[in-house]
Amino acid sequence: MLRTLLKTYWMSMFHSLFSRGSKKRASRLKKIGICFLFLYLAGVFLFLFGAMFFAMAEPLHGLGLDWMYFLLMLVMAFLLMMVGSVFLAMTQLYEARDNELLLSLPIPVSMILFSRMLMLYLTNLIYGAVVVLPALAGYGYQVGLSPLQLFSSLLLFFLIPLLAISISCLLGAAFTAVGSRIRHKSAAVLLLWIAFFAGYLYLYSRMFTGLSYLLTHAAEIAGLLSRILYPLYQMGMAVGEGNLLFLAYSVLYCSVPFAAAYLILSATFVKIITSNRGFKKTRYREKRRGRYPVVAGLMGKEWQHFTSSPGYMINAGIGAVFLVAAGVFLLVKQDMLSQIAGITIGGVSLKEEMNSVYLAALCFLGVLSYISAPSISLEGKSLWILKSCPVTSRQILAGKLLFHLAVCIPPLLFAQGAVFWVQRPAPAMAAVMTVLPVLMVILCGQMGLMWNLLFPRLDFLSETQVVKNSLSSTLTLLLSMLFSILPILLRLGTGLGLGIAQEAYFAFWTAAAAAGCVGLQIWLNGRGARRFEEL
Amino acid sequence: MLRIEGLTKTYGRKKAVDHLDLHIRPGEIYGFIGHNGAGKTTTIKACCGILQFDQGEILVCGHSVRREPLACKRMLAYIPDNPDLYEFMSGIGYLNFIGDIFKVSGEERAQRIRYYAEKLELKEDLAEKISAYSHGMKQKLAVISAFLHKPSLIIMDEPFVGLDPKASHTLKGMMREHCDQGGAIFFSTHVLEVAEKLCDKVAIIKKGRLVASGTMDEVRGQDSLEDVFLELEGENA
Repeated sequence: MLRTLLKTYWMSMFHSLFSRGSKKRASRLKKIGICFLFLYLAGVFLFLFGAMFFAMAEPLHGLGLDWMYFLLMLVMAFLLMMVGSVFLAMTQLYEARDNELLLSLPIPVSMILFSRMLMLYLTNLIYGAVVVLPALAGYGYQVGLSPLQLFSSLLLFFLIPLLAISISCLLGAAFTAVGSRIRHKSAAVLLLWIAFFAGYLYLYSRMFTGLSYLLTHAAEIAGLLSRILYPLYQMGMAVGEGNLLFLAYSVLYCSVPFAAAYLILSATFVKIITSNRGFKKTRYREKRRGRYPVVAGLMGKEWQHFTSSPGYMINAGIGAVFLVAAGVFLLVKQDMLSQIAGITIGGVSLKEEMNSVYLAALCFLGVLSYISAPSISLEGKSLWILKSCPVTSRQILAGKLLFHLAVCIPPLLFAQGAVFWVQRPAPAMAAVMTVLPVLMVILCGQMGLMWNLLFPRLDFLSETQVVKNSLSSTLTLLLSMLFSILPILLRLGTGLGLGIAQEAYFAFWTAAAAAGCVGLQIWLNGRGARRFEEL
Repeated sequence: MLRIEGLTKTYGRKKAVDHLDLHIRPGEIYGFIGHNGAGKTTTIKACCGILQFDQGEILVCGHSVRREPLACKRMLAYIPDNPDLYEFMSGIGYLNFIGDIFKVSGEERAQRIRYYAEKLELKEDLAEKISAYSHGMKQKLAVISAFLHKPSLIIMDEPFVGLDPKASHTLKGMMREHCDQGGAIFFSTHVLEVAEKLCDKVAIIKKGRLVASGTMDEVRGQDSLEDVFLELEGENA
């Protein structure tokens, strides 16, 4: 039974990546391409964590604090798992579309729960691997790993995800239970997520300062940890010093919370997912409402979908939040940003290139929102409504694109205003700094639609799966990010175009982006519209 | 009102609909009967412009579904067998969305929503999210949205599934009223008693082919519709 359940989730997950719609299968070439894409992503993470751990291995070993090195490895893996799974647990466990179907079948509730937790566990293992593997490689290369250290670290690598999913599943249960009693659940979840993410960013921004502080005050911190957070000290010692007694304790620290969480959730799972909302029914009051134009009606529909789905807002609309936050940050912390001007890259002082830096930042933050990328897939089984309405495919696609722009452009304009206030660029550069980010946002919206038309996924089990894990979202985000920083990468990274005035250089890229927008719009109006009709 | 000529649709090697001809005139309630997988839903979806077909022609009020899909869609309303509506919208939000798309003026819209929602006893629930609706409530909302823009032709796939007896009765009245005002209704059903009592004409489809069609008297003769249907299906009544 467990095998069947796992197979179902596995198929659902891979179907969202490899299928083209509900009927067509992806070609072998596409499958290879997708695998390369994910290997590339894993490579980026491995490189980032590898660089960090390679820098720490020798200093900590020299101080006799090997246990702290391994503790950092485990803590970082745990934090990454938490970030990756806390909201995923909520959608995968409690908001999955097949919950009621599975509950109606003769499957023990504990089995349904276990199979879902197992999938989360496997996901967390992947998150953990991108931290643990480079950390072990770094230590092994620079210091040398003993067999006992290797055994202990691998054992804890497989057990730490249990602790992470215990906490994320309990938090997910709490959010779902509270959410079912809140009328504006989406807004509440969004606020919670922003708070969570802000905390994460704060910690991340402090990480490098913290790491250098750690290396200079290592002995002091080690003493503090061993006194105050003794279980953490034990975990570090279990791997670093191969202390088998501490290893046994560490196994308990991971497995006991998991067992407790599993028992609690088994007893409450049905109640949580079947609980009715505890607020009063809204009474309908007739209101006179005028007629909106067709495209406005379509945009309104997109708006209602977007705001009703926290997963959609959080994942696909985060760039809009970043743009506002960046604008405010820029206005408040002008002095901090002036420090950037002192940096030199490849012999070029950023003081001369601050306009380029701001422009790149605006473009990059602008394309972090990929609202249009899952928007066709999210029509799901309701696609018949649009298809039976007297609207053209072009109008439908236009509604989706315009909604993308309606969410992304106002925050971009605010951020641009903040940049202009601080930087006060010359009129020609100001024009480029206004137009290029807007074109990048348009390009990102168009690209999202294009990828989604090429890789639609209409029969999903959870909306978050489509928003977060679908191929169209991944491709849109990665390629948009690449395009957004390509001009500055070429200019500052390779020196290409440094001889050209900033205005002229970026005017060229503005023209290129405009050409890209025109080309994509032609594709959307022609082949794209036909593809939509075929869905 | 609806003319289907030589409609053929294949899925891979399987012919779901095979050279089907039907003609539905204004004022007619036309029932479409067949076993599961006979090709009813395929035919219905092709008529609504949701499904592309291989051969044949479908005309809605003289407009070709293939060449003038928008003109056809403006004239018709479709209610699917499983009303998968926008769960993220409220009932009234959905009706307003349909009103905007079909360009129904504010005054007419308010009047019709009030009329049909009161008839189907859904008015009190219109402010609720569709995700909180039962299957029957969603079906009622789909019915209201279909009547909202006064289509000439209404195409329904199993419209009575999920409706309580009172709502079914109301819907039958609404269907008759619509046809009395010059409209037409084409609907599929498995409930032969409903078809027998409600339909002016009926068509029976088997393995994608039309096996009988005409007025109720022409199709059933002296027997009941159930006897005729089972006989055509190759079973003993």
